[in-house]
Amino acid sequence: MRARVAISRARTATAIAAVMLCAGVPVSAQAAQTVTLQTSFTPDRLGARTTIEFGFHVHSTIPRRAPSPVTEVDLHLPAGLGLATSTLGLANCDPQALIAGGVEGCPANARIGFGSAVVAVPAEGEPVEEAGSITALVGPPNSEHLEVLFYAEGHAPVFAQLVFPGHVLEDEPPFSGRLDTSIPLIPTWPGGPDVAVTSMTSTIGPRGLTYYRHVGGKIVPFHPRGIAVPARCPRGGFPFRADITFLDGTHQTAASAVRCPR
Amino acid sequence: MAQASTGALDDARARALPVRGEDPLAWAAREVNLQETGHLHAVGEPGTTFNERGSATGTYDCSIVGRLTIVSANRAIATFTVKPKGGSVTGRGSARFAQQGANGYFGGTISIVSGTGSFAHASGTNIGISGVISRETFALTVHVHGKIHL
Repeated sequence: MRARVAISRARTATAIAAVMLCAGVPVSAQAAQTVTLQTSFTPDRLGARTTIEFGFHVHSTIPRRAPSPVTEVDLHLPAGLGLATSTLGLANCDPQALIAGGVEGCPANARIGFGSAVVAVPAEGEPVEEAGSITALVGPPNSEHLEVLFYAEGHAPVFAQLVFPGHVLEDEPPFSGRLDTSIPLIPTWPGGPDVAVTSMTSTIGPRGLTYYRHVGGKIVPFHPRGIAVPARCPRGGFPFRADITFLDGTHQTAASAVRCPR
Repeated sequence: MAQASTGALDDARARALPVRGEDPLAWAAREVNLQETGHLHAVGEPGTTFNERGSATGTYDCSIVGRLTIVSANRAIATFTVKPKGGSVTGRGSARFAQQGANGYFGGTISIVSGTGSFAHASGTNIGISGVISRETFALTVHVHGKIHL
């Protein structure tokens, strides 16, 4: 079952209206765009347990125009990474609890990464940008696919929290799986343009995470085991690819590879 | 050679099909209804493969060695070798794998690919396997069920 895309506690209308009044009359966000993808491992060592970091950036090809909003990101992951043999995501997060209580509404052991995002609010003149934080968590138990929830939180000029649901799906070589994430449209105000995600960066791995377990009646913190990097590096490095779909109906593909450690 | 449980053998005899030129009962005695439950623990640090070792009970009480390799998001290759008295039997197959919180669940089928000793001519296909593996301790429980021909 797919988690519902949710926008919570969105006090967006008045805040964005205020932004628009300052920034001028909104213009169409229907602009051509290109995409770049960055990926890395920390640590970057064959046979080690690692944290994957990935980020995509959307560039408008029309000056002073926000790109079209991203509606779907399909991130292809290289074969051989030991996600299942990590201890990431030992608990599950209920999307409703996430929406209601934020990240604190879900178990710490459901967190699998974090990052940031930048959105562009279309406006006449330069688009207004807003940065927010992202937390990645494992969603509810699903017998079919591993579900990942990206919780995004922005504060100014727009105060809003969103949940982007993703699923780890089967893939073809040289990939082992793909993280298919739907990104909800973020409205400015009724009838207004949608906010466009222009960049998103997130980790999937233990870096910066603390889990907890019960030991002898006490709660003991520990660091989850990371994703296993194969002992051998494929020629050309570990390949990643992002297929991105935009609201204007266009698609862009960006590729990246984590180079083989020397 | 280890003996199948009486109930399993009776069941196999009742359902077995005779082959031309062979004594029907002799042929029937070579089909065994396998029902095993194994409890295994990890050997070494897993990468994409869980290497496991332990013991099994059921039709045969024996040691068991297993490998579960996660090959993609929801697919695994499973190999199990049981070592009953008098030989060994190795089965290999594929399974679906689903990660749910602290556990990973798998289910699929294996075929017998080799045997030794009294089980040198063992064969069987579509032998069901299912189980659960702890993602914290890598302790694995597996159920194997199906017919094998000896």
